[in-house]
Amino acid sequence: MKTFLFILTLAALFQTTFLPVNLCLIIIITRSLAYEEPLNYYLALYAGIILGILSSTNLGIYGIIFLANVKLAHLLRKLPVTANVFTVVVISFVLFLLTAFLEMIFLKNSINIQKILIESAISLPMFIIIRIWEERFIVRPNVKLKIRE
Amino acid sequence: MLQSLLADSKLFLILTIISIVLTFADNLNFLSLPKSVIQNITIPIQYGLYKSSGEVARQFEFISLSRRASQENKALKQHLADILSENTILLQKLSELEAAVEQEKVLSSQTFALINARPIGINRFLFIDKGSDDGLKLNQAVVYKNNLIGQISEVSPKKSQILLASDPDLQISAFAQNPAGKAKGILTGQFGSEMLMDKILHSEAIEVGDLVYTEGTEIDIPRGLVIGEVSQVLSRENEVFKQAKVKPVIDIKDLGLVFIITN
Repeated sequence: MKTFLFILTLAALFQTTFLPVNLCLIIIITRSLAYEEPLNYYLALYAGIILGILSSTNLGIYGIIFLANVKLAHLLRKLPVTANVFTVVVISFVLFLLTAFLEMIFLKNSINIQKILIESAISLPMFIIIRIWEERFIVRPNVKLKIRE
Repeated sequence: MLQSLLADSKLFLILTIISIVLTFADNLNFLSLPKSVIQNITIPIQYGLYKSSGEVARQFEFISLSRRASQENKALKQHLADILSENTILLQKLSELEAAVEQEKVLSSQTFALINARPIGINRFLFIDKGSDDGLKLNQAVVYKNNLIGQISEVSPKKSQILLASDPDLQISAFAQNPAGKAKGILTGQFGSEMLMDKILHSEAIEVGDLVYTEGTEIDIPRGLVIGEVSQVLSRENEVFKQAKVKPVIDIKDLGLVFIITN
């Protein structure tokens, strides 16, 4: 958890200084699609608050948006189509579009389709990185030969 | 599964309520103090990151601009080389055209049919870039303005060889004109740039500075072409004829274009 809190803080810093993409949301959505855990909600709230402080916007707005994204990601994850890893891109696109729509309503930001497409494209490698990172301590069972007597 | 679903939803609802409470609290400025305290720490970090990213972006932009400038420079150099080459060709064509116009003033195209050709080499003979494919034939006269250069001695389809007036193999009947009269003789080349006009009668007047012209008795060499200028008169009382050394008035090496009288 500490690693993700640190990464989300860094992502929020980069996002509010020079990177035009929503890094925090990419991390949160891809983690929610990879693992259905209560931890995702805590990370979403933390990311929302940090982003609110760094971007000088209302503290709770991003929290609500990110929590909604986590909930939807958990629900969509249960669909049979998500067995294919490439559906991460499609689901991410839908969730980013929804986020952009909510930002337009609450924060008066305009929708940038190009940005959403870039974020969707980044979500797949991020999903793979998170899966590798989370399963780094999982010991794979060795193949054992059975000797017939 | 239902229990986990309910636990999940419960957590979601609790955290959403916390977010809504934070939203209202921030709207009513209850959180302005803790926000400003935290922003006192984060703003310098954000400023440092922003400045560093600007520097990095400027470096990449500089590299990209340098690369583009280098490519543009290379393209411009190529373009300049092409233009200089084109300019050289145009200047050459212009000088050829000017030479043709000058030639037309001296030897009218109504009297003489002329073909222009470029000298492509010189040793004992002058070589030109036109041949039988262009209508050239043996023994045709080669001129520049109204000066005789020589006579075609060999013709191939694309190239021709000119026997120069200064070559000993070329003998031309000539005359020198001055106010006192006319002196006739036979002009023979001496190699180098000098020619010797021989068989001049002692009674005929010839002086240094007189121009020497073609007599026109040879086939294909018209009358009145300038061969050279008398540089020395050699007269001995005990000789039947007197002689005169003749030097050409033009330097063949300076010529960019020559003309062949085809008719």
